[in-house]
Amino acid sequence: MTTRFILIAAACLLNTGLLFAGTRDTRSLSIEEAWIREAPPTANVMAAYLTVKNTGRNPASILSITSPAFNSIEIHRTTIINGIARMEPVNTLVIPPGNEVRFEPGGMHLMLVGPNRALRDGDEIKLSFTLDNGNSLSIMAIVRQSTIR
Amino acid sequence: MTQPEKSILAPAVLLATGLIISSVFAYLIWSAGNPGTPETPQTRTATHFPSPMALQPFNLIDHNGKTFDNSNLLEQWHFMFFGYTHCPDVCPSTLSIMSSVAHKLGENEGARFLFVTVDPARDTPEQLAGFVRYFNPGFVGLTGELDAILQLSRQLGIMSSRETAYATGSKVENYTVEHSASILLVNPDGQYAAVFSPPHSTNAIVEDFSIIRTYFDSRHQAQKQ
Repeated sequence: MTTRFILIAAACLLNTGLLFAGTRDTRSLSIEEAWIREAPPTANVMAAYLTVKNTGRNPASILSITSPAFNSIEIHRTTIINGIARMEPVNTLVIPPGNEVRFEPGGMHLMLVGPNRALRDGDEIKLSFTLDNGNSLSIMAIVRQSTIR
Repeated sequence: MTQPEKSILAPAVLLATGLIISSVFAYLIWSAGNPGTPETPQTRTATHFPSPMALQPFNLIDHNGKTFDNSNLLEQWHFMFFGYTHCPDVCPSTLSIMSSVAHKLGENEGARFLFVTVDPARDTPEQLAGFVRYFNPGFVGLTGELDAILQLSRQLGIMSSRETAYATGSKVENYTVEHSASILLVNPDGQYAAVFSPPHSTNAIVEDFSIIRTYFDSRHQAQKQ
């Protein structure tokens, strides 16, 4: 009787452990529709926009972002309050489960600093996101020219 | 007809005629001294100043290194935006909209578009040239000593201030600058005539500009009379 109880308890614990492990993998965070706004050739900073979805059951944090095409990348949020535009760095973005965050012009964006070459409409750039569970998620962002000249 | 009725009628008619003629003269004299101005028009999103404000003297240089001052604001309408080239989000978005406005107005409208930097330390004329020309080959970038820029921006209610550094540790100095994101409108007399506050819309700006310009033109007509 006791042995069976112990075995069942162990099995339950093991399954619970597996359950938690499953919800913390990279498949719970998806990054879509990433695009980079084409910038003047003399620009040292560019902006990337995308949609991040946490389809898992646990919060997921983006700790850092890198790209072979840029020296450094930070998350910034533009705010325009009383007509004044400010950009605030967002050091760690925590996305609660079941939520979606849109990075859009005038709001959240990736500040891409120090392009190593001039990027043109149609170029595809790799962006790699390091998450709080130690995993990395990479996507391709497309450069888009969005000005009527 | 009896004699007494005739004698009352004639003076009454004379009096009435006299009153009418005097009233007409009075009205003509009154209206000559009071020509009347057109109604102050309603704009969609712009804040319009029917009594525009003259600008105090300022002195900047354009992206070709030439002097740009108050005299350069005359005889044309000017749209003015303050920003900086190391701005990845608001400035490119706003300059894109200004380029759309320029396209909708067309060359015949004769409006010019100015981008004044709030970051003269990094925004040299060359840096500005590369930046503004990307959005529209006709756009003009303005820079100068910081004091000279503030001398202009403050009159127009534009604030700017250097913010936090980012990407520290890299060779290039990286910092953001917070700044007002309004687009200003200066009339052909070089006066501050209106302000478009964010969020900006190409169509709203085009429509309001038309209303403001029509008002300006009709006031000029009225003043000539």
